[in-house]
Amino acid sequence: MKIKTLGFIAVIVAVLSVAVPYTALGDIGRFWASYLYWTFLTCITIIIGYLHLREWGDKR
Amino acid sequence: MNPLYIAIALSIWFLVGVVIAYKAREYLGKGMPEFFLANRKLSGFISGMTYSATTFSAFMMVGLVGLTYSTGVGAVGFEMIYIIFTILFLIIFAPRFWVAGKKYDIITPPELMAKRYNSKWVGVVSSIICLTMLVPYASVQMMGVGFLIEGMTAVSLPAFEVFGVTVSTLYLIGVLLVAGFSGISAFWAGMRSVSWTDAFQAIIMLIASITLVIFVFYSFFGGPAGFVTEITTEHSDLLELNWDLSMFIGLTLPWAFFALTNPQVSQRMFVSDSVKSVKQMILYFSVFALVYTVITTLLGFSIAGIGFEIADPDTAMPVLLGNVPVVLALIVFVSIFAAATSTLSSVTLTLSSLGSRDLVKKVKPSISERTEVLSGKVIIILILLSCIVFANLRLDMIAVLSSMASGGLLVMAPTIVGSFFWKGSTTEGALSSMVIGGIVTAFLYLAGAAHYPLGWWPSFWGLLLTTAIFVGVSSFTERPEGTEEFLNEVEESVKEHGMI
Repeated sequence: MKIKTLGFIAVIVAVLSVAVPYTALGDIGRFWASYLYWTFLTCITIIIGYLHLREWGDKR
Repeated sequence: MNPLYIAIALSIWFLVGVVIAYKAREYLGKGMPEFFLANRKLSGFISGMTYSATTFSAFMMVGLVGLTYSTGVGAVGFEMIYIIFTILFLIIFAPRFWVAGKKYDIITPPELMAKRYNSKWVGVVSSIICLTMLVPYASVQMMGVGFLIEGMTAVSLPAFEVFGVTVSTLYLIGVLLVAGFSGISAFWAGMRSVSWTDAFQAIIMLIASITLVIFVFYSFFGGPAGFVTEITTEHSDLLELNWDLSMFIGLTLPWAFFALTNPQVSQRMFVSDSVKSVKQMILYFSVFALVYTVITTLLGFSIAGIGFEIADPDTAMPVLLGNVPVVLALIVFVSIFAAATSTLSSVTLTLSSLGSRDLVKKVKPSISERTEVLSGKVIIILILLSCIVFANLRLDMIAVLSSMASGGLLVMAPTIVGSFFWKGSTTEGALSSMVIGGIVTAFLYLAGAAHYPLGWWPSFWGLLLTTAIFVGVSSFTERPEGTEEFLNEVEESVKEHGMI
């Protein structure tokens, strides 16, 4: 994954992490709403991070 | 709780901590990289644990639990966004910090900025910002323990006055304990002892919090299902997002950039011994952060679900601990103490490296490495003394105070990002954005919430202003000598190490 792709992901995640809870989930008083959404978004980031880090290794 | 139990629990923890720090001292060599970076020889596990323990402070089990208890799910978003951005920033910036640190023998983040912008003043200004902003943040660690000891101890000792400030004896004992333990940890063997004790403390933090949440679920709600039912039926308002958007952005923005702007964590991007260890540091932190945040926020909801009436959210955790078995309460208490100590010792050590490397050494370049380390040790004592005074002023809520400190550091974000990703960034752009942005941000915080422009927080305006100044001034000034060379060397080295 290139650095530009990661930067692009960061911008998308920034928008999604605020826009979705404040427009679609904020009024729902359930764990599956904002709470699970933010937890899920964090899990997705960890998976993306893992997939990227897996490619790291000394090429010399 | 009987203060004797607290004394016994802390003594055991202290003994283990001292033994670990003593073992670390056996490996201590000479010189600045050895004392402040453990000679860049930390394994992946130790790097990951010291990163986690440094990042996660008393704020988590005291401040965040209280914030979730009082304001609900907004606190979860605030913390999760911090984790998301820390992971992404670590993946993007850790390789660059790591290779630049090794290549140019850099000890501190401001030193890296000074090298990139070819100006000692960039290093001096960013060091002054860090020292100014991190003293309140470090003091918050002491306050957390002070509140906890006050809240958990069933004795009342008389308060006394010092220079017109009323000081609670129990609170002061908590403050002095955490200052003393942190001082020993940082003073004894620098980064090596701090990182080793951090690893021990991170494990305690995780085990204690997991045990507590399991106990609370089964003891007060009959199990996790009972907890979910209770919160969704009786406290569903806490699951609704009731944070004002400007407050959410204002508190979250500084934390999103925490990994870059807080030198005590960004300095940890220098310490790993290999590419594999840098990778492991990021992965261990990611898992630790997610688990610890889920647990602390669930504890906040639990306290609301149990139905304790608590006037001050910062005392939510002490109240909960007063209602669980003594042994469990003591383990959790020690874990919070550990969280505060590990963060404080790391902040103190980092600030002392900034003071000796980026201020003292710049004023008197002829001093030897031995004198540099010695001046770092003197700075450790001075910082701890300042924090003790600040902590006893007992200013406002812990969460807001922590975020304010990070809000001030946020003015360095454009300079740090630009140093690796914008060839056009200049020394004048870096200096003017940090100085003007820093003054305006500090002024807005001091003016108070009633004077925030359009109701938006100082961190928002600070970042906007610093970015505009940084880009604007850089566009009209000459890039510093050596920019191309620095960027090419760093990118080439990142590629060579396969970290791309």
